[in-house]
Amino acid sequence: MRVKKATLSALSLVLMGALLFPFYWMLMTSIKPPSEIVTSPPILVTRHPTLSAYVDVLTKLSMGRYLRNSFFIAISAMSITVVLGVMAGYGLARFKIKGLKAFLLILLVSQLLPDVSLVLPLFIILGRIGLLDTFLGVILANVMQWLPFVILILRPYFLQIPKTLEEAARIDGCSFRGAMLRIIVPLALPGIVSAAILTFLFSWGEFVFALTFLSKNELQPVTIGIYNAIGQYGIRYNRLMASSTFAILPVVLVFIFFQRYIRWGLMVGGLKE
Amino acid sequence: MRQERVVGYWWLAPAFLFLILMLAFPIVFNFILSFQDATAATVLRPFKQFIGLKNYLAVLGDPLFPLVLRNSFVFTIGCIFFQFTIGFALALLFNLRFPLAGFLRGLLLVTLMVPTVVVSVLFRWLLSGDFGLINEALVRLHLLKRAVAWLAEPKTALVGVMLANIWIGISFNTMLLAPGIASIAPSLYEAAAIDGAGPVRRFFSITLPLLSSNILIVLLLGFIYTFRIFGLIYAMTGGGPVNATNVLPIQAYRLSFSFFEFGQGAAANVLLLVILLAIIALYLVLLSGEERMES
Repeated sequence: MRVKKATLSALSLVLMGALLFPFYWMLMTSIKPPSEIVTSPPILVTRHPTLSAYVDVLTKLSMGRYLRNSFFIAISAMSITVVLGVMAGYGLARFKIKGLKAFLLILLVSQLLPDVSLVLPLFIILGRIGLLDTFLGVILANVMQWLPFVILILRPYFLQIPKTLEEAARIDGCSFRGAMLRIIVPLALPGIVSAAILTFLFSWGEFVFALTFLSKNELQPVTIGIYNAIGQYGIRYNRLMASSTFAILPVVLVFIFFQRYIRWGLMVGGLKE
Repeated sequence: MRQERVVGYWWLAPAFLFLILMLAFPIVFNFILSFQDATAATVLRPFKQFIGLKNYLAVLGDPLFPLVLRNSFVFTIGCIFFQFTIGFALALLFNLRFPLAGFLRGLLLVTLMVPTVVVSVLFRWLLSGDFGLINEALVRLHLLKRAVAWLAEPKTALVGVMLANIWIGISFNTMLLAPGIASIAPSLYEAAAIDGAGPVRRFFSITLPLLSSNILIVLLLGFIYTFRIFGLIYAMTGGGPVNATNVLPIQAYRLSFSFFEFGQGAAANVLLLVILLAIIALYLVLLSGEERMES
């Protein structure tokens, strides 16, 4: 039995190693000197690790600015989505809403719609109201894309909180807002944190809205920075891979520090209701 | 009580108002636009001329359109086939209890969190015709005679982008299939094992039949998410070479933003929405059937 378990562990370790190997190759390519990148046979472990590609993308390709822009877009989209999502999630869980099924259905369908179909109408609408080439336009588009998902994953957390708890707090003299802030939000906090992290990561990686709505270089996020870089220096893969490493940094940090908030069941919950 | 009901709507109002403005209105706007004469010259006019179905006829009559549709279905069905098979196998594996199972399973989600444009450049590099690792490996294993420029050749480009998307989608399928697999009572397997059923027999006689509706739901969801993929392909090939990886979302985008045929772009968007809404409807029907069985 123990041997069997060890075999299973080893097997899945190998499988996951193979699956995640592209990340190793990305990291390895990014720390290679140019002479070691395009070689046959390929050099699997560099003998001369260097951070020069990272320095290059920071100094010559304004990676710092791209990362700042991404951070600003993602943190803003996250904040708006979470505030609206908590309110709606709470409302759908706590009150007897006429047409509850219809509301849930609308949310489920909205989050299955293709983002690319919304780019053109949003481009024209945002252009009319002067929000093209502004952070706000892209932020709002990101909120639109993730809000339905966030409401759907938050509602179960609010459903779990017994109504009596809130009523007890009100009897003890808590105002409605007080009850919300002191009881409901803390109890639903794991769900809210998960929703916030997911919205942050998804907005951080968003591509098509930023590509279309932001033509000014100074405003573009890291995803567009990488896209622009593809054509610019075709074969300098160490720089592309260094840029990519910067771009996945938030994902790595989340998996190191917040992995317990990224649960499978949570993600699945948003896709069914 | 009635007052409470009204209070409930106030909690919903901001989110749904936002979605009406940023989601419902744009879809309606796009629908109207698809019947209008909207090109680079006319798009900014407040009143555009209605031209009936001309945009739709132009999109559908484009000699490229059959190829685009074919690419879309080959891409979607091909990706789902491999993602599902591999994802299913991994879900079965991680359902067994062994050290590291939880940790490795959690790690699987990384591929879903990484920005897709990173996956694009990563696979551009892995699939590169000049010293790309995949070529080096295949040539060395004598599976290929010489390096193939996967993404630059019309014959292989679609396979290349599919590979990248399969890599992303494996986790998606594992994640969706795992709860169903975990919910099958171990006693069923034990009883079958006592009756002399081997692992293969148990899989086909217990796991598959019990999961059948679950599997159908996962496949449909996979279809919905794969058919609409834009960014990954756009950053890998831009739909080329010579339209070899041009799928419906790319075609819709290019009509609008490369050729500035906004009316036709809007019509292509509507076609994409109609195809997906048909699948979404099917998905919802199955989902409600599933829920009825549970309750």
